[in-house]
Amino acid sequence: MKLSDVVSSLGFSTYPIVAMSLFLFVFVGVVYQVMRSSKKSEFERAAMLPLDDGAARRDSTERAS
Amino acid sequence: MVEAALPLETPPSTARTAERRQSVAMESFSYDDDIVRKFLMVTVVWGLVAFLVGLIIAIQMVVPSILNYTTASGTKPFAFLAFLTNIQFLTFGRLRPLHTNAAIFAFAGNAIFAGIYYSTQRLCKTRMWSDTFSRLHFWGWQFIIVLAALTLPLGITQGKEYAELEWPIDLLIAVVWLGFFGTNFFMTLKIRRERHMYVALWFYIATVVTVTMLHVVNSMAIPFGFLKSYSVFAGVQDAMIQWWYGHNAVAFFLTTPFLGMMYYFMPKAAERPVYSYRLSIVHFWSLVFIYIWAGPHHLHYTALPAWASTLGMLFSVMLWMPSWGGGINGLLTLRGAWYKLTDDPVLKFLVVGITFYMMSTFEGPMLSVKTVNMLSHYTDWTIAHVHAGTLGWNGFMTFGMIYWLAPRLFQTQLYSKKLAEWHFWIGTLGILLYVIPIYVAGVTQGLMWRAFDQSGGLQFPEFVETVTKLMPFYWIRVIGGTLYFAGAVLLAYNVLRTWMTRPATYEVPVVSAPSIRPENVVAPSFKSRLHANTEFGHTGDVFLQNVQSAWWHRVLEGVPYKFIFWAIAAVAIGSALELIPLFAIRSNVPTIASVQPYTPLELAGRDVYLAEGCYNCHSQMIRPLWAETKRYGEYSKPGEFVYDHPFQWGSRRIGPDLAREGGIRSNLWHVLHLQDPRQSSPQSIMPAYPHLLDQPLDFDAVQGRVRVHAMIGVPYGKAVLEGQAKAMAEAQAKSLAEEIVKADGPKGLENKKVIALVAYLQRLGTDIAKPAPEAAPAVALAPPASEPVQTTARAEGAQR
Ligand code: HEC
Repeated sequence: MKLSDVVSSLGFSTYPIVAMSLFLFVFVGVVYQVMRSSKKSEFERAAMLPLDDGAARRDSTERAS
Repeated sequence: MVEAALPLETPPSTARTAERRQSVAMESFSYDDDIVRKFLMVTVVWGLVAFLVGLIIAIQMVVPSILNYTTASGTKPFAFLAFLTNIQFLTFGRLRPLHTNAAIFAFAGNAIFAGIYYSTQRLCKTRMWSDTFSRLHFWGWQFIIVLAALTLPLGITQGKEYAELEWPIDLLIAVVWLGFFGTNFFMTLKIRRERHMYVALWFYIATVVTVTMLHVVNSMAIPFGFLKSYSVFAGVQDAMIQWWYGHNAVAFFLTTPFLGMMYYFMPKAAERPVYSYRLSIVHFWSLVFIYIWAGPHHLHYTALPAWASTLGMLFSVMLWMPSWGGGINGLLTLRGAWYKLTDDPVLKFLVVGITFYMMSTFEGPMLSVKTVNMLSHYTDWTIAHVHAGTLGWNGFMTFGMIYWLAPRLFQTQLYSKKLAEWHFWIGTLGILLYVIPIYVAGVTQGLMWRAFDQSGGLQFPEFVETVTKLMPFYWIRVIGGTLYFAGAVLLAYNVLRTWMTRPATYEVPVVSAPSIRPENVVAPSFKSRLHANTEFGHTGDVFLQNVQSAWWHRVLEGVPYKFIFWAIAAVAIGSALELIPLFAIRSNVPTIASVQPYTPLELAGRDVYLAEGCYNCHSQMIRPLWAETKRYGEYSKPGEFVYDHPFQWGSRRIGPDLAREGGIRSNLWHVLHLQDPRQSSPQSIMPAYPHLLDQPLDFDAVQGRVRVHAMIGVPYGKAVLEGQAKAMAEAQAKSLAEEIVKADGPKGLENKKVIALVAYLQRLGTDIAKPAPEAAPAVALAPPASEPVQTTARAEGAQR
């Protein structure tokens, strides 16, 4: 008896279907979380991050060697 | 935008930032832009190389059709171009992997690194964790590229598409990617001074993690010497793993990092935040959760179990939603600023790039629908699809980023905005002239392959007819490719001139930001709220309060462990569940008793086949479709490939399928055809391989090859004994060579590479028709119940 005989008797072929449903389920959960309105201000701040790379707070400059 | 000499001053985003700044100690630091400059420069250089090699192989497709063009005076003006079809190092089979590797790993790869190093530092408000690691990463990666550029034309390859590089280079990739780049990146996240990780960083994390996983799994091979290795997987399993890798390489090397860059550079260029941050998060998770599943669709109608490809198809179709949401999100970032498009080449490139992303992600799922795939698979349609993606999406996003970065990194003005505009228009025209004719070529080819006449036979039984028909389209592609390349030359010139006006020394702005190091978080001490209880109860209550207050959460926040964990979990679980059944279920790969391992000589010939990259033009997989069985013979069964390390199904039929090539032609025919295909088939576009008739076959290595195969489970029996394999190979070579001489062929081939290759070709697909050896159990074929035509390979072979 080989390992593959053992594993094949477990009926793996339904697993992908189960897993797919699981993934879908988790994904829907994530979407729900994200869509909750309570996060509005947090997201607004986050969206501004690329536009603020700290250059505005440049205190002094130094020359590279 | 482009003319701005220095990063524009942007007002602090919110009042909250300002508040926080007063209460916490500020830390000063500077960004490492030198490393970004380095990556940017090599992106331009490798881009030129990748496009040029692409142009050369596009020309190789048309050159054979003019080689023998004769003028009225009897001269052949184009005969000098023959070097493009018969110099071994320049043949299509060897250059095509060089082109794909250069485009993906050198051009796109370095572009990704430039984008990531620039944006990560700024989004994290910190310098990269280690300058040394940044440099090791940079030089290590360039070294890998140089090794690839040397080994691939020499025919040193693993023979798996997009994963051709041999094992020492594979190891190096793992070290540089995870060891230097990955470590540096994650440590930078850890020392960041901005609590929230902007969505672009998420895309980068997914990239680093997933590419590592894909690379390691797909590169599992047993080395044979320093320059050769054999995949531990065989046949169907190897194919599954390979396309799981191939598909996800597209997702996590060519999609997620570029999306991260889109979410960073689009707001930068448009000077406004992304349209919807929410949507960007949904976009991210949908890619991570769904994309990993969609690999098997690359193998529709091949010998894969049906459930596997159906599943892949389902998930591909689900990808529509998020991709379009993401694309629209990127485009709408320009809301209220569309007018900027008219005079900003950066935005033009980005907008057209995103448009191509949306087109490709629309088309991809469509190609995974079985009925569409039935027509498109193995045709140029696939080539058009990937070029819309790479030239349009990856190329244009990269160009846009470069034009935006160059003046900022070199602290000067862009040399010429006008040239950038020219690049944009030439490039766009180039893409259109590439993809449109190739789409037409793909559909034409697909239709011709399956067209049948009134008497029920194939309308175009000669394969080469379906090739010559495509020549006009291939010529237009050459024009399109030339234009795209010319555009890249303009870019290189523009960047060079910009670089020449850089200041004598670069200014290094010192920026400051408040620290958010975990040290600053003080753990509150809770007292038990319970009276008269056991010590255990008190401990429990303190624990509960700790959990409720979630202060520890802020400590952990410094490191995106949680996040990394979920990303890995999603990707790994998805992959495992997709792949495990294949390894586990015996019925998935039915064994066929009459299928035996290759003889030692055939095995050596198979290595010649791999080294020459014949798989770039020839498939070895006949699908269970009427037109295919009619043309090539009985369709391929999973059990026929159990000794194929690696599998050689191929993905494109520039030449005919070879799965049942064995026995169709005489040995001499093969020798002459390999020497110069245009002798037997004047319109053939196959390269000539005269060197195979000269180069000696290394009989001493045969023993080692057999041993390695025995090690990974191929039942070689007594052939593994010292000297056995060599003797067997020599005997078979001798008898084949004698036969060729008898047929008035060239003499002295018994120790040449061509003999091994011919032996291999003559073996292909023949086992299935042989009787099972001795008392083996009855042949267990895949159920061919609904198979309409049961032709035999032999009878139909002549029809090609
Ligand atoms: C540029 C793509 C290309 C490459 C690379 C290529 N071939 Fe071909 N091959 C073709 C085309 C096109 C034909 C059909 C015309 C002809 O018969 O030459 C063909 C035909 C053949 C045939 C004849 C099949 C038949 O029975 O009609 C064989 C055998 C073959 N190729 C083997 C090889 C081998 C072995 C290699 C690698 C050493 C190789 N080819 C590399 C394009 C290619």
